[in-house]
Amino acid sequence: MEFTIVSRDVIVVPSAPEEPGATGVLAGMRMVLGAAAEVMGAAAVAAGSAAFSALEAVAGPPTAAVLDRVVPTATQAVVERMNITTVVVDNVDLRAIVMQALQRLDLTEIVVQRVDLKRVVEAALDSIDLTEIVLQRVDLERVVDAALDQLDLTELVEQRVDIDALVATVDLEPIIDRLPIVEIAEYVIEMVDLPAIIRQSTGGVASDAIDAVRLRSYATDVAVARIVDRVLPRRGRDLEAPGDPESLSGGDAK
Amino acid sequence: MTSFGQWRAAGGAGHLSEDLSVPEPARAFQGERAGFTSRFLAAVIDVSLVALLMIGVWFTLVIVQAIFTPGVNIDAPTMGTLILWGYIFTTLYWMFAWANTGRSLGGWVMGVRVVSPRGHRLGFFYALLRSGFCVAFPFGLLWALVSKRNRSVQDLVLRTNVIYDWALRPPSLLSSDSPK
Repeated sequence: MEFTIVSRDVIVVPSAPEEPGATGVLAGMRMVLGAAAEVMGAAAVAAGSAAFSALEAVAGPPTAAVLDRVVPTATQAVVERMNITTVVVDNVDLRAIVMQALQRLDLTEIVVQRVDLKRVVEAALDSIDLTEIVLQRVDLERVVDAALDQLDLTELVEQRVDIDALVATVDLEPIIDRLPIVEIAEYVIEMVDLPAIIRQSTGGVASDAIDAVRLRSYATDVAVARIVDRVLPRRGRDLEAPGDPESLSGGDAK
Repeated sequence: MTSFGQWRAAGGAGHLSEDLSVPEPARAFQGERAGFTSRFLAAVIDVSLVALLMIGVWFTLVIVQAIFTPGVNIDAPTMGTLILWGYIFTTLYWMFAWANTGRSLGGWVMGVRVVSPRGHRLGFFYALLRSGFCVAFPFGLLWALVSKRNRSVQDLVLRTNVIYDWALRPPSLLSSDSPK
């Protein structure tokens, strides 16, 4: 068993490596040696203290050279024997320290000055799948809805999109195929009363005369029927014929 | 002005489209049963045409006889013969007219058309029955004066109808009741 004197005050008794089966005698020896070491350590400490006191009485306070030699050695010895982290965590009000430090520091300024933010951000972006995170964590529908609520999309398109260029790329044929061209033509013909225009421009005295004769004849029919109906005890006539004139050119007989 | 959507919702294509050729004041009564006066005038026009034709035939024969006498010996038809020819011609004329376009020249002038009980073009046999009946009993038309539905005796028997229809309809476009 070796005793190492690491300082003037401390005698280190290294623990013997435990061997399997080392019980009984070894344990007794360890206790005895431990007790001896304590006695010797205490004696050494007492002797060291006396010597140090004597030296201090003779030579005065310890010089810087002595401190330079003693302090690091003592500190090292302490550090080796203690779990500093545990001691700090158990005994220090870390929160108070951090809060005070934060109050005294302009952390933003320090970060801006001292940290290579670009590298940090790039490294962070490299290490994470931002798209996946956004897809999982962000309510995209709400975000898009909120964005659309704030935007005047029509105005935006009018300002930013070249609609003429866009329309120029459109294939119009399928659109025209979907349009009821004939119906549109019939609508236009009816609205402008094209037949009337044609009648007026091409019709002669004959067609006008025939129209006049027909109208006069119809009026006579109505008048004659009214007279007859007045003579006969009945109300009007049922002039509704089966089918419409249109049925002549496409009725159910086909 | 009616928009295209409104026009389409109201019937769109086919909505009065064929009546567009008819003057506006007459569109309302197209397809109604025609009254006595129009039908009578149409018949008068047709009969007058046939009478003129018969007179023309008689006159032609007389002229030919006069010119080529004594070489040619044609007996000018008697009045009875001409009337018989007139009856036959009128029957055939009305049959072809009603079976093709539904109206004769008189019917076209007066804007009336003969249609079947279902409102379609008459078949040839049906048209022949009606024309023969009309020629044989022209006074049947008088019943249209008192009939609640403007029907002549022929219409009552054969269930045909005569309607106002001013629009021009080529025979190929007219649907028919007769088997094709």
